[in-house]
Amino acid sequence: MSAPTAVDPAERGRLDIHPTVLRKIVEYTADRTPGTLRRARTVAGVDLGSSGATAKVTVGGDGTAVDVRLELSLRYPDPVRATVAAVRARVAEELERLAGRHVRTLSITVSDLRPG
Amino acid sequence: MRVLLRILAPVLGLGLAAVGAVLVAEVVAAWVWSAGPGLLVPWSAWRAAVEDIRWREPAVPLAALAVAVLGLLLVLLGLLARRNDIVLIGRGVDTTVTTSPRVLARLVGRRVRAADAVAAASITATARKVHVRAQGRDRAGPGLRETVHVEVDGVLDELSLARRPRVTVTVQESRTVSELASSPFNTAASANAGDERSEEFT
Repeated sequence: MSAPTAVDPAERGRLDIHPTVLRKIVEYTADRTPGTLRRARTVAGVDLGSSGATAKVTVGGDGTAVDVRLELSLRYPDPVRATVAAVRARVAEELERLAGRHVRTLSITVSDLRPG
Repeated sequence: MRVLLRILAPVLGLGLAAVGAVLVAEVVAAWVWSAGPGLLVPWSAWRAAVEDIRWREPAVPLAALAVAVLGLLLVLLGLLARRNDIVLIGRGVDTTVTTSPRVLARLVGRRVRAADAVAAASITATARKVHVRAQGRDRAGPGLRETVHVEVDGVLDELSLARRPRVTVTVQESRTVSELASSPFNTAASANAGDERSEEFT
């Protein structure tokens, strides 16, 4: 009986993170950034609760860079640039910390600006 | 343009779906009754009519031209109906921030209507231009236009847009409270999210 071949722990498998997980990280982080707001959802005037930021994450060619499209509501009159900078910093930090991905581009659509 | 596209897209889609359904019905009917004249469409008569047409007949290039023009018009409509977002933080950097004309119209409207001298206002906003039609209160003086301009400029300064839109203000005559109740400015809010321009009435 031959002894099992020693394999470096780093070589014992591979970890794939589905883009859905990255999207949820982005949305969760954006929702928790001060200055962002949840949006009321209504259909024909009927209240359907509220929704937070929505994101689309595209993984780049090398697998570590991601392009993020984010749609969110911001509190006004908070400065948009400062809030967006905070969102970017937090999203980049969380994606790096949790998934080892770095944000290559971030495209934000502000769907509403209103008092919080 | 976007409204037209939104209407046209489902109409064309439903039309194509209907043609597909009729085609399936005709094929099945042709399998069952091989010599039949057609179930829903008199295709035998159409076929006979088409067979009589020669390539050199003037109807052929005219029909081709009509189809080509129709296709070009649809392409043009699709190109012109693109989103006309307002850029808050410029393109070309790794972070781009945009918003819709509707959001800008709402912001401007909220600020303008909060001014004491303004009784009602409607706002039309695009990436290039913000137009405000304001109606003053009884006690509003001749400086209403200037007041509205200052309020709009304040909003645009706070947003620090990548490209500042041109601001125009139209002032309506001051009206009494009873006249304001029947004013067209008091209609419900109306704005299309993806439209090229967004208007808000209050």
